[in-house]
Amino acid sequence: MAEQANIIVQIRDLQKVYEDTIAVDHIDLDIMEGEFLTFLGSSGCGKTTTLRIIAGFEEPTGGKVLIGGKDVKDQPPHERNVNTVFQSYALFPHMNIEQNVGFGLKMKKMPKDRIRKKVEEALKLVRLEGYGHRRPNQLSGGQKQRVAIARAIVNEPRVLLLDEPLGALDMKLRKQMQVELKHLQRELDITFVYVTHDQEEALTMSDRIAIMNDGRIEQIGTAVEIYENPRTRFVADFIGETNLFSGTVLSQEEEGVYRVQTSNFTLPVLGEGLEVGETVSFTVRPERIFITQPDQPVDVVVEATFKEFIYIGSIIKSIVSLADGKEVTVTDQAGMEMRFQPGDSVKLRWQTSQSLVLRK
Amino acid sequence: MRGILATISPVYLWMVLFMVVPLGLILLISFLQRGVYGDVKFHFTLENYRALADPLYVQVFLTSVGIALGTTVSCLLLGYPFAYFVAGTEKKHHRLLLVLIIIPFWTNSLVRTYAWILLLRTEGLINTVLLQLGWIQEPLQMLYSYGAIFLGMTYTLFPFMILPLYSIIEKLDKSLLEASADLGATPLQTFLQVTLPLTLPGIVAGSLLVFIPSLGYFFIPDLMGGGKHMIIGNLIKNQFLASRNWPFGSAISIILILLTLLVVLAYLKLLGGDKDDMGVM
Repeated sequence: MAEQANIIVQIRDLQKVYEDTIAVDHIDLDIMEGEFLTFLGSSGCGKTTTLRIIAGFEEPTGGKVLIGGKDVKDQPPHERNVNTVFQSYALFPHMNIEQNVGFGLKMKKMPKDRIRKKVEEALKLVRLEGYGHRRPNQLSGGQKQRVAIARAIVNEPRVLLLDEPLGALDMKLRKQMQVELKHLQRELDITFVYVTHDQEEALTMSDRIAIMNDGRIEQIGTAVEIYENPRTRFVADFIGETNLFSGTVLSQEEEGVYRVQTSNFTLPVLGEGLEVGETVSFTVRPERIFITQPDQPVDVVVEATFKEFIYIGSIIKSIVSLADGKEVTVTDQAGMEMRFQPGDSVKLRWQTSQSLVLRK
Repeated sequence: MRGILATISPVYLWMVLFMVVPLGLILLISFLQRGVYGDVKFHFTLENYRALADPLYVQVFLTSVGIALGTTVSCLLLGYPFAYFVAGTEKKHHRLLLVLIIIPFWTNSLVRTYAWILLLRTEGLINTVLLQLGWIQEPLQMLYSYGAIFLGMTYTLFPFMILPLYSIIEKLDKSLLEASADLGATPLQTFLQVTLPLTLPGIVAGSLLVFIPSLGYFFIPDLMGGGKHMIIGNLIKNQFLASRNWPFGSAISIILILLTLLVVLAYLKLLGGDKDDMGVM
């Protein structure tokens, strides 16, 4: 993970309003030099618009973007020291691969033999040596994607922007490219700003993930932070699978721990600055709930009725229902005995530290 | 076999009746002699082609090609920005803008040419208005000049340039232009390195569609040029109608057809070649 503390891109109070929709709603964000930052969100959340504003393809309605400490308001895309990898690859069909990759250097008026050398290096980096004289239409999707990446990184940008670059590839190739991209980013030590709607992709590659919803950043943090400590209901629900409960705060038990009454039970949850009587929602991840007695001590024990098993390969999902019919999902490693029958009474157990109060 | 013949024979019959036979007749007549009373005498000769080598006729060919080229260039210079503009507007406006270009062409082109004459002649609308405004003291001589011929030809053939250009510019992937800018190309460089090479087939197709008919047009040079400027079209017309020298008219026609074929062949070669070596670097 990049440890430099230098900020390379500063986004300040950024807004983008189209005729009737707010695409980007007052975003503030610092992107660190050398980090792999991912904007993650479903379509229409403003992630691509934010990226396009950084690239210079869109003008913000308000706020500003600073790259390397300089406001880029008046810099058109061709004057910004950032490069983009487009979702559609956008390779020039009338040029061969060498000409495509060398295009940026040619625009910088670099001498021809230096261009050739750098293009060769870039193609080697993406494992496409010897493809220089082919045309884009003679390459497969994965190869085109590599050319698009080579064409961008050959210019040694300070920031590389990637707009769902793996979206058009099939699952297997995508997984392979995810690892390659991550290695490439470490090797080159360039800041990557990545846009995707695929949470697994985001979790796999990113140093930090910014989860976007409705033009705002809901939460930003490392994959572990986002998964283990979701701050809002949206984030908890969007990343992975979870059980969401709501209840009323009964009392504060100790610093950061409150007792909450739901329609089925009362239990301690982790939270901060809650008021007694306040309605809150909280999350418990399915894999942190045990149906059978676990090795470690648990703080919460809840009565439930077993409903069904769902076998999905590496894990087994159990669906149980609480007294009022609310369903709770519990996951466990496959291989666990399927010892329960529908209708059996079971006990759910988890540790207090696994139930987190969410905002909103 | 019989079935296939029955299906394609109407096409062949049509082609033979309306293409091969008339062309064959023209080719045949071009090698014959003119009779004293303007009839055709069956007497083989190459005289008609030899006569074409006369500097007078060479000049006519050069003038014609010059006018056709000029018309093509002015259609391109006006048409490209227009097609680019149309393709750049919101999709819903495209059809309207194109229809606006095409509507005048529902009127007969002879009528439209007369309309231009009414506008341009010495006591026409433009001169009257300019005189009334006091901007000019004497009427401008606008008609019966090369300028008038270019204007009439450009106006008439404009849609043939716009439509192929529009259809190819509209299909141009905008992300390629963004990629170019992203890689450091200025708008001018993007235009020269990306837009122009990728829209070249449209430019060539439109130019061909304008160039070929403008080689043969005779009524616009006749009407707007006042008949003073002899080009191939009216030369042929005159040979057939005024001089009643069918063999010579036929020989000129054959040369015109060959000239056109040459241009088409060049076009096909250009299109065939762009797959491998249209590179810019």
